[in-house]
Amino acid sequence: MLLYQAIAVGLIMAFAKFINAYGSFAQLMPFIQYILLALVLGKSPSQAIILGAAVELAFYGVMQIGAVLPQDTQVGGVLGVAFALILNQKPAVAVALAVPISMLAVIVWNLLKFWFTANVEVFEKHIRERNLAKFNRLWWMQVGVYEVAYFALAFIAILAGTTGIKMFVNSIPKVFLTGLTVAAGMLPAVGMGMLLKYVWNIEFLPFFIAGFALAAYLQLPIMAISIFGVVFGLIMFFIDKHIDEVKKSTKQVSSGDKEEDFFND
Amino acid sequence: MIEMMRVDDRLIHGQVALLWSKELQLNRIIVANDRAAASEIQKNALLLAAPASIKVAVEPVDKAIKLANDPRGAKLKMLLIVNNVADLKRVVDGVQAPDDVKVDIANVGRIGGDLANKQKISETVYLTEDEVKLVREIATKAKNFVYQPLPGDTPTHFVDLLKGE
Repeated sequence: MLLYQAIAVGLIMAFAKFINAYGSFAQLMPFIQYILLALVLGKSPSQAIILGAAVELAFYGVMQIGAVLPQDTQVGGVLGVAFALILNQKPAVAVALAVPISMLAVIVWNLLKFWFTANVEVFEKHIRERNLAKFNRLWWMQVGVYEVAYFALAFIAILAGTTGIKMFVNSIPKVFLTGLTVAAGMLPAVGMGMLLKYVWNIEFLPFFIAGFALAAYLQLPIMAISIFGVVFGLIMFFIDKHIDEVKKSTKQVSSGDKEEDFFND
Repeated sequence: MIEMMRVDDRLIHGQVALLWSKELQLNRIIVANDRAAASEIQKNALLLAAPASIKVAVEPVDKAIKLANDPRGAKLKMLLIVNNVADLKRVVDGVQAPDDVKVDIANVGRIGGDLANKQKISETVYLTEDEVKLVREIATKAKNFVYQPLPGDTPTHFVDLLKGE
């Protein structure tokens, strides 16, 4: 059973990583991979989404820019949710496992990157020799090693780790688990804070207050607030579009001097 | 005024457009690069990469230095970007900035060129012997000369990263 689970989670991990290699849109993928995870593990997909959402909120502010990987949210998410599903645990446990795992998993990426960087020279040699076949072979070897590495990571983690994690989770005192649940509830605020650090602009303040008021005073569920968020966003989008059109039609006449334009507002 | 001089082989990209522009509250970016300035395609790509609120000038190094020294820019917050150490030497020598203006070698040398003849200075910086010599010359003038790819990274004195220090 555990062997099957380990293989299944490994395959989902390889899939998640494969998609991840194709760019940031994969940030949206976790929900799909959590549903797949539940299906192959024979658990409830809705439970997987609840666990996944808790984990994703904790990763809210993690932004990968360039090749610098701060936290491996894919590995953390898949393993955290997989452990919680296999052991029938609460979202708090999924979050508590996902966050440290995501940080540890960066090591694997750095090891892979070490090899990828070393390959640059070999790739260049193949190009100089116009040897496309060798170039392609090395390229696919990289993809293969990348996939196998993450499959193996998840496979070993589930196979060797489940018993240990189960003992660990069961040994957590009840008070501590309650604390963990509270902490998991607070992590989205940390994520939000990290995200705001990148995008904050004083013009967002009214929306920020509105969201707070909708939640705190009107006690609206998160779904309703999200819908209002989309409405606000659309209103702003259309207003901006009009302003843009007006700006274009009354475009400031260029002074004819490129330099002058650069310094002008 | 020039807030920072940066070496980055991709010139303007996510780390600059998203993070440094926010951190330094930039409203102008000057790209000092002879090749990019000569190519309409590269110029347009760089203009696209920058946030809409920031005006970008892509100029040959000499012209960029003049632009950076222009008194009309005194009240602006400008970032000066080059993509190699030799150009950095030119702008550090040419631009009249305070001695303690931040000079940052962030990403250079990893892609292309002759990797075998380069030494690894940090995770994102690979330099040739000649470039290391230039770096030491730059260090005699630039007082705040660091390695700091992202604003969140702790700035390291660049010369401390060189071997034999």
